[in-house]
Amino acid sequence: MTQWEPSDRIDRSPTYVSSALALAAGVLTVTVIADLATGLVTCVAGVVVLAVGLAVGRQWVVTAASGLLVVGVLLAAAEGAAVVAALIGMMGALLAFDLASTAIDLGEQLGRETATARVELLHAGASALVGLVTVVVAFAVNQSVTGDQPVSAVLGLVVAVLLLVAALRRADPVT
Amino acid sequence: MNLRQILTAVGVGLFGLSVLEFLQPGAVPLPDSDILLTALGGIALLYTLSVALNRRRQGLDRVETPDVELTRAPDVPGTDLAETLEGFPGTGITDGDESRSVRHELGEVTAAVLTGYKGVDPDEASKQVAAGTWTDDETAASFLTEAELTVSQRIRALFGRYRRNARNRTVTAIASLTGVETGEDEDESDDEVTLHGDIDETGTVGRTRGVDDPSPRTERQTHHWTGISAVVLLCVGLGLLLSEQAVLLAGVVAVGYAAYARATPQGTVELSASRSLSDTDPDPGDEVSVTVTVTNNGGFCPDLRLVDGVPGSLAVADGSPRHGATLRAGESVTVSYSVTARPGTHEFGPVLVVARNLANSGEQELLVDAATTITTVPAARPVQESIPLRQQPTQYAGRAPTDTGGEGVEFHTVREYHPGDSMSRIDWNRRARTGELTTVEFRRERATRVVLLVDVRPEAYVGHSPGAANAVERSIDAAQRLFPTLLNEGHLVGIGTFGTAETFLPPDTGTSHRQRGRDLLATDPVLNADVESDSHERYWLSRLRQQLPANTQLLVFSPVVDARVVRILRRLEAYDYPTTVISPDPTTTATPSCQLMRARRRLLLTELRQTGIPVFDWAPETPIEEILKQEARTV
Repeated sequence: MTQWEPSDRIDRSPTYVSSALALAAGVLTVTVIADLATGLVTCVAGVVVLAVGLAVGRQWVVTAASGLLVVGVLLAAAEGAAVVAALIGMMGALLAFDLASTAIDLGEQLGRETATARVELLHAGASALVGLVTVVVAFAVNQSVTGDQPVSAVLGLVVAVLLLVAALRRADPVT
Repeated sequence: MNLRQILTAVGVGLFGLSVLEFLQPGAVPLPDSDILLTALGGIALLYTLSVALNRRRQGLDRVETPDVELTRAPDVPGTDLAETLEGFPGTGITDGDESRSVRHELGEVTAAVLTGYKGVDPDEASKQVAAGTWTDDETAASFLTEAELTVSQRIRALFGRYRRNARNRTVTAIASLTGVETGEDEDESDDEVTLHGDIDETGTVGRTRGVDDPSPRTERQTHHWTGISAVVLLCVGLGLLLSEQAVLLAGVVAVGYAAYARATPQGTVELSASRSLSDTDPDPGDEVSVTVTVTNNGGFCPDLRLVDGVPGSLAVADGSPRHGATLRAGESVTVSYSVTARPGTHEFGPVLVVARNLANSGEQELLVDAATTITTVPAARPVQESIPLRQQPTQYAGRAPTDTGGEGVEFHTVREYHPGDSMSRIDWNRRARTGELTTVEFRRERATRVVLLVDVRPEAYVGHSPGAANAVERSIDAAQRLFPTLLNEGHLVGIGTFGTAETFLPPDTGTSHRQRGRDLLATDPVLNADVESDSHERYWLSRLRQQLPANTQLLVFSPVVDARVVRILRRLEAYDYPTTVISPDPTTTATPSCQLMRARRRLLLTELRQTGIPVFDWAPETPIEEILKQEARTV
């Protein structure tokens, strides 16, 4: 008669492919801001925490790790990092979050041993593409807008962004 | 017009004006103040905090997939102390009786065990409990006496540990009165202990929410990207406060991902599935390979997470019933794995599909129907031991020896000749020697009518460990072995269930009956150990009695964990159905409460034996032959 032991349950740890890609994204962030001290320390800490989060398979650890990466990038930007470095660094941080969450979700639902590489690569590819496109757009905007901007216009834009974020989140908090 | 629409309208309007201001400074009367800008940065940061906290509260949402690889775990009896105490034989403890403390109830139980198992006079038992002389364990004894607690006990009681430990020790001490050995990890033991994790679901069937809906589906947001707007706000806030362009621009990347999450549609998923088995009628223990093909009848599906509905009663032997697939329109994916066949009918559940959109922001849960059934009828394996039935003279010729003389093979007695005795049975040697006319009596051999009754009440779906077969499965297994054995011995054998009158095969003999019984035990839905019957049929006992022919013996398979089964068996015995009980033991000694459950079952079995009902206590992992042999020795 077939009987199971606790070890017969499937391994629901995060999947390998997405975990590896998430760590790679974290490392990418570290590399682009490598010459700025405070930001670098925070980002390295972020990557370490990310690795721990993926090892234990906890979403909140992974989220915290991505938070560290984001803060690290912003610190580096404040320290005077190039705009391109800040953009790519931010992309890496958000990609790390996305892919690590995907790894945890897929692991939880299908298990680590299940064939999921195709799905994971598709997600990673799509997210990386979205990131690259926004980086290029942001860089182009940065290049085209030169000289002093009127404070009043910036003020208006910021208020508009805040109102729109509030409106969108009210509709349903997808983001 | 609600707040959201007002916000959106004002936001979009302001955005347009600001762009205009950008191109033509001074065109729009917007305030021009650095202090206001800093204040806005502060507001943005505060809003960031609120969004981040909201994410913490909301958390991620995803479909939990069942453990289809495993078989359904039976309940381990006695994991809850209150349930063990409730209805303890010899006590008046009833469900939900809040007026009495656990301590009081344990006192009653101790007295009941002393009376029922040790044969102590009831008054004497109460005295022993009150005096604390019933056990060597002082903690246990003093827990039940009304004695004042010592100062140190009071202090420890404040922390709750003393009472808990003392209670557990008392429970163990009561159990040991009936000879129940204690578990190995006594210190760890706690009656809340769940054995080997918590397996909720082992199949996909129970997930159907709308029964009428042929293809139920639920859509939900995963909240995968919830909190990305916090990054946007953080960049805006910090950027304004520090007046740093790079920080402000980094927010654009986050805006990009937020737009991606919001703009990616949920998508419509149209799937169909088919399943094929290498063998739909295997023998028990065979590995059957299962191939499931899922076809995409709709548009492109970037992320399909498939979990096949392996029956809860079957375990996956090799491969995985799960797959992560990306399917273009018209494309299909094949998942194969193998299961180990077990006796009975097993129905595959629908394929559970969790479909995510590309951005991971939306999730759909679908159940794709693919009905498949696997039926395993075990080969007849009669037991070599003879089955000790109760003595019962009947008029049918058969092969069971009785205590009365008559026609037969084995010598029984010699008696005086009566006119009409057969010439062949006259002892001619004695006639020649002494001239006396005597008749030889042989041991009469008679057939008995036997009905095998399997306990299928919900109470019987218990097992000694979550990975073990439940008592119903073990009962059916044993019945499957004993049915041909009894037929071979020349009895008329029938099959019925204890708990419902739906399934009944009247006692009979012959080849076709033998086959019918074997199929019934293997495939009858009521006897299907896969599905716990939730029917609390009310008048099954009187209906069963109408079906039972007179002069019938009963062979009842039941774990005997509740007092009700004892009452029913005593009634059946009183209605003149000689009853024998074969009881698969589902109890364990893992926790004090489980030990008490074992003691409780022993008490119930003793009660049965005192009524004159022979009971075979069948420990797990012991072959049924051993049990029959042991009993044959001791009886």
